[in-house]
Amino acid sequence: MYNLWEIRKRKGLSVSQLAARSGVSAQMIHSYEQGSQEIPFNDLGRLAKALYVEEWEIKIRSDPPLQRKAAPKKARGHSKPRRPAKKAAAPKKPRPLPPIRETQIEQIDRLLKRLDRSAEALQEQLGKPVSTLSQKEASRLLNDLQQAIAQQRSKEHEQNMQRPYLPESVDKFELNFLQACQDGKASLRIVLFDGTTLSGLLVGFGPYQIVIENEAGEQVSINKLAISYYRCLLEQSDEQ
Amino acid sequence: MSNNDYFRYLRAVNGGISFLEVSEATGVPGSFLRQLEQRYRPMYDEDALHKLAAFYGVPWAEVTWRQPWSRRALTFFLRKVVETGALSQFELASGETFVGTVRWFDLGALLLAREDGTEVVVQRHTVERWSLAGEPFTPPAEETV
Repeated sequence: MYNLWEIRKRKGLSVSQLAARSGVSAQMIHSYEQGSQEIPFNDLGRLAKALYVEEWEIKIRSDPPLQRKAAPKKARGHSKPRRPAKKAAAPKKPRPLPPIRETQIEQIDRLLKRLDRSAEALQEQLGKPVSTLSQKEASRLLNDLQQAIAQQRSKEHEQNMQRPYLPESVDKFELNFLQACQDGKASLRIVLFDGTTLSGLLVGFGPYQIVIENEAGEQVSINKLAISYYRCLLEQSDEQ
Repeated sequence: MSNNDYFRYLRAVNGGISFLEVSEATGVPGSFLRQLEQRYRPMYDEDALHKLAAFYGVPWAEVTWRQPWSRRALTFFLRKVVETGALSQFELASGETFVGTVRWFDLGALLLAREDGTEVVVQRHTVERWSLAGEPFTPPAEETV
């Protein structure tokens, strides 16, 4: 899984180019890349399409890109002398971290359900109840859970890709059958939608039609939509 | 015959008119007509179906009873009987009923090995209703439609 900005740079695209391709505003892309916002599923799909990657390859919350260190400004000859630095302030007391938001708790619950995990198991893993987490910790936890969901989805996707048998998407069985008939120099007896019966030697076929040669030596092309059913009559088979 | 095939059939027997012509005559959007014939899952829009039934001059019942007998439902059934090897029966548009074991099926057809030892390739669009052999033709369960 990669950060959005990593994939974008790898593809040699600027933020504005990606925005134009995906339909997601440049401002939103910037905010996703900075990791200040998680990528919602609808935008994730658009971005994945625009980048020609799978959705699961994109981290839902990107780590912010490394910032270049700004080069120290060269002092100009005529610049005013700088003010003396203020005295170092007394060390600040660490601020208490803001507590987890209600919406974060709800989102964690939703994600746990999707992962089929219980809140108790999560509490055990964290060592404390979810309600005692800080906003930052909750945000990290959400990120982890979303990554787990993305991995789960990618596994499902792989399994679907390996589905071996999709008869709705192929017509090879019928074509193989007709090929075997043709190889066996078989004749077909075809019954059409209107009850007409046509017989003849199978001389050709395609996804949408079958061509037979009737007794008069004429070739007849029959649209499969007009066919109700047919039988392949090999020479040795006894015709019913 | 699913509703998809039925509407394609109606268009064919009415001189093979185009979606555009049907759309102009009925006011039903062309996109709906296309999906009605080509979509794997059945489409249902009562108003549009009423207009089409009136346009083709067929009874309302003719365009509704096929709704549960969809391509998708037939696929569910065929998958089941191919896996189990169960004897099944198919009622065709011609009124004939074929009983046998389905050896294979695909996008357009299925091979039925009949009890008399003959094999017949039945085009899917001609199958009106189906059930396990000896059982009545009851509409498929909703989740398969």
